[in-house]
Amino acid sequence: MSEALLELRKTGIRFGGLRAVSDLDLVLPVGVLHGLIGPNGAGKTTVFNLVTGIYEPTEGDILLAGRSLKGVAPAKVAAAGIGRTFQNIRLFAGLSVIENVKVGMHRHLESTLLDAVLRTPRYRRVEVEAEEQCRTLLETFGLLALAEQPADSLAYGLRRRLEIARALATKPRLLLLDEPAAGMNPSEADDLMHLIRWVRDTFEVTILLIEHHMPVVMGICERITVLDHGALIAEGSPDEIRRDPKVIEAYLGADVHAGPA
Amino acid sequence: MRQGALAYGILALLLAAVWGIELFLVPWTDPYLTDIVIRVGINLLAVMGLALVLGFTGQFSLGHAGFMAVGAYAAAASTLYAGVPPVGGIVVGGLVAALAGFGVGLPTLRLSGDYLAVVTLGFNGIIIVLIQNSPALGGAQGLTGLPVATTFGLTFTCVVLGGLFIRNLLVSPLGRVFEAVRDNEIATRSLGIDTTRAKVLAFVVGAFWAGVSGALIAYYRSSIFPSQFQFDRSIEQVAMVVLGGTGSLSGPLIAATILSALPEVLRPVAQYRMVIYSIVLIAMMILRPTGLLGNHELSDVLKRLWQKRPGARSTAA
Ligand SMILES: Nc1ncnc2c1ncn2[C@@H]1O[C@H](COP(=O)(O)OP(=O)(O)O)[C@@H](O)[C@H]1O
Ligand SMILES: [Mg+2]
Repeated sequence: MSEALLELRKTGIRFGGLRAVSDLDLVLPVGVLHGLIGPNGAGKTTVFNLVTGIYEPTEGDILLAGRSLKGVAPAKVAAAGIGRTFQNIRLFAGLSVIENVKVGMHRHLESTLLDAVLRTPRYRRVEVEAEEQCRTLLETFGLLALAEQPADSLAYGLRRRLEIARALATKPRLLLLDEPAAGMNPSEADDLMHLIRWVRDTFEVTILLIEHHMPVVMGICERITVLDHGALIAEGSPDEIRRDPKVIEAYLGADVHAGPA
Repeated sequence: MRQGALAYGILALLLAAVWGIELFLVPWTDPYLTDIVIRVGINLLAVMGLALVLGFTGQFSLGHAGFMAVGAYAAAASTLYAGVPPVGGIVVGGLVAALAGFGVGLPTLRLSGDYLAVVTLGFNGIIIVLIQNSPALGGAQGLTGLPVATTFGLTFTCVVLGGLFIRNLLVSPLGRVFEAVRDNEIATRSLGIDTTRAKVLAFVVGAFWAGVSGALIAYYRSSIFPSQFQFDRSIEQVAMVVLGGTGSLSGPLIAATILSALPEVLRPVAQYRMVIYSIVLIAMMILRPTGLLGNHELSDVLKRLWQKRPGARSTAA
């Protein structure tokens, strides 16, 4: 019996007359790699924004390890152990690749204004430790050679990788990935999906993944939730989802039989 | 250990240079030139604070001269009414301005976007009106009878301390957070960082050094007037940061040096002064829209020039 890390209970939000998400139930046990799929505008990104405190649900509740996240500010949600990436990549363009990751680690660095200004021994020890940890993380993501490059000089696919590395630097319990393979070719996407699975196993992190590359989602996720018009239309194992008539009708169409290679 | 010792070594060296110049060069220098240099130094202190707030943290403050006014009048009042000596008055000016920065920043920086510009603009105006209508602060006639203490040495001691303070801050983890806030506040929050706190911190540090700058003005010519801290001064400082390059510390300082000295240098052709001044500004905007140094530092640029010098043994031929 594994306990729930994240739980959405009849969660919903309205934007004026639009119910972007409604009545959504979702349970993520610790350690799961869970897929969230659905057509464009189905409400997937909105679910991430609800969980991370960017939006507050107008209905229902969201629990992290049993504690309600309702009304908790985004920075506090992140500090509680939820890391995320963004569909429209949000890197710090003026910073180098490694500095992006160091900002991710910031909340674990104990270094005050006075440490910085007076160059105390603690300040230098903290910097050395951060540098080492960030380099290790960058190596994992194949970005070490680019550590000192400006983040906005990276190719598109590498930016997405960097964003994941930055989110992992916060040492999250739950990682939300919003279309991490968007804009990648099939082979890059495939590599990334294996990396994501490896990350889950190595960092022992629970992952909720939004992704459009159907074969890879079906290939690596243990469970999948399908949204349409803000509502859950199916949940189950990849095999169940692939065979679900509602899913086929609403979203997957003929593609559903493509399955994993 | 080594790095820390080096930082203190640089500080000692710079201060020794400042006081060497004060003792051995200033007495034989044309007072008119010394006057220009001191005015430049005073502007440098204000502009380095604004470079932190605007250039590195991305917060559009339009009332930096208001914090100079707070620093100047707090220092002056501490001396006139409590007998605080000038060096103490400079600290008082910085601290009171920092407090004002906290008061203005905390409620405003929670909100995103343009509120700060509007509120700081209003703050600058309100401070001036308050001073003009306060008999204890001399009203529109200003405060007189202050001791004269702002020498080249004192001014540039403050410039060195302020410059190293802000530089050390910028290359520290907090400095990275300031830039992260500027580049993408939502992403910064998603990493568990309290961005309001970071913005308020940058704002308070910027206000502190503006206050020190104002206090130096108070002790320069034995009197201060509210008209010295009007809105046009705030705008001029924004121009210095933007022209020097947002995301650079040395760029704005160079711009501040040039723009503060320019009106003086152009005094012989006084009637065309404002025209030339404007043309330089417009030319800069067209030729280098990212500012003089963009987001680079002077040291990077010099390093690159050095590597490109004729006869340099280049590894990347
Ligand atoms: N802040 C907002 N204000 C109004 N409508 C929004 C807002 N955010 C999302 N929506 C709407 O909610 C719906 C779901 O959007 P989104 O979650 O981005 O879909 P998906 O990620 O599944 O493509 C869309 O119709 C979108 O226009
Ligand atoms: Mg989306």
